[in-house]
Amino acid sequence: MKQRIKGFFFPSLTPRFLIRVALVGVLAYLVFGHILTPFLIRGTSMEPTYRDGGFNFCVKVRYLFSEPKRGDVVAIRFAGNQRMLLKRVVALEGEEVEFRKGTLFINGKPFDEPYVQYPCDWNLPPRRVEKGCLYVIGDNRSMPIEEHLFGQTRIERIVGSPLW
Amino acid sequence: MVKRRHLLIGFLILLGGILIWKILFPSEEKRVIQRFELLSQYTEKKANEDILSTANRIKNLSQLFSNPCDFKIEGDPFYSFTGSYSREEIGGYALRGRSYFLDLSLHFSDYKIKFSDRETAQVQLIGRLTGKTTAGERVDEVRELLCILKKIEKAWLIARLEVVEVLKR
Repeated sequence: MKQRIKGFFFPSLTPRFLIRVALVGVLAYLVFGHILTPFLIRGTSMEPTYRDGGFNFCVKVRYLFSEPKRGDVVAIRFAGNQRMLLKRVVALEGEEVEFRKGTLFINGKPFDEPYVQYPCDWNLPPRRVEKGCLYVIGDNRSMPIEEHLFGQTRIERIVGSPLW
Repeated sequence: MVKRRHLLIGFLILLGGILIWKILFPSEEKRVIQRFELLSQYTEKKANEDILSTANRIKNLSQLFSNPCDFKIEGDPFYSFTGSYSREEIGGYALRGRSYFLDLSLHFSDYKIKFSDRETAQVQLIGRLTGKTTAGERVDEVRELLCILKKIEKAWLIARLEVVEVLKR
C-alpha cells in the first residue's frame, strides 16, 4: 500500500509514463483551449440567469454546424481571446428591434422574455439588424439603458455558448 | 576535431551576424510594432512623475502620430473621441487624459499586420489600459484596435486609430 502511494506521488519517469503525461497535456490543451474553454463571469448584465463571479465553460463547437438562434445565450469575442461578452440573442439579421417602456418589440410585435426578471423602463427607437449580424442584450435590464452594453454584433464574433 | 570546432565557431559567427543584422535592420513588421511599444512607453505614468518628464513624454508621444491623425473612439456612452486631430491637439488630450491617473500603463498585444502597399500598414491589435485614477479607482480596460500606419519620411506614423465597435446599437 505504502509503495503504491509512493508510486502515485513520485512515479518513476519511464517512457510509458512520459507518453501518458504528454497525451494528457495535449488532450487538456485541445479540450480546454478549443472545445470547452473555462471562464469566469464578471459583471451583472446577465443576472439572474448568470451571476457575477460564476464559473462556466464556453462550448466553442456549439455553432460549428448551425447558426445561433433567438433566445440563445452566446459568448462574443470582445478583445483578444481572453475577454468575452455573455449576452442573449434577441433578434436575427433583417429583423427590427425596439424597446417601448421596457418591453422588447421584434418587427413591431411585443416579444415575451421570461428570463428578464428585473423591472425595466427602457425606450429605444426601432432599428434594423444588419446583414451578417445578430442583436444581443443582457437579461438584467434594471440599470439605465446607457449603462448596459448591448447591440448588434457580427456573427463571426460569436465564439460559442455557455455549457449550462 | 579541429574541423568540427571551426564549423561550430563559423556557425556561431553566422548566428551572431544574423542577430546583429536583425537588430540593426529590423523588418518593416518589427518597425511597426516598435511604434506601438513606444506609444506604450510614452503613455506610461508612474505616481512620482515630474513635470519635465511629463512634458518630454507628451512631446514624444505626439510625434508618433501623423499630422493630422484620424480617431474613431466611440460606442461607450460616456466618452467619445472621433475626428481628425493635429499633433498639438493629440498632445493636449494625452496630457489631460494622463492627469486623471496616478499611475497608468498601456500594453499592446496580438498584432496582426497587413501591408497594403510599401507605405501603408493596417494593424489589428489588442490594447490594455490599467491604472489608478486620482479618485483612487482601479481601471482595467481592454479593447480591440484597428490602426492605419503611414510611412512618412522613413518613419511609421499612426494615421488612423479606431476602437473596434463590438456591439453597435
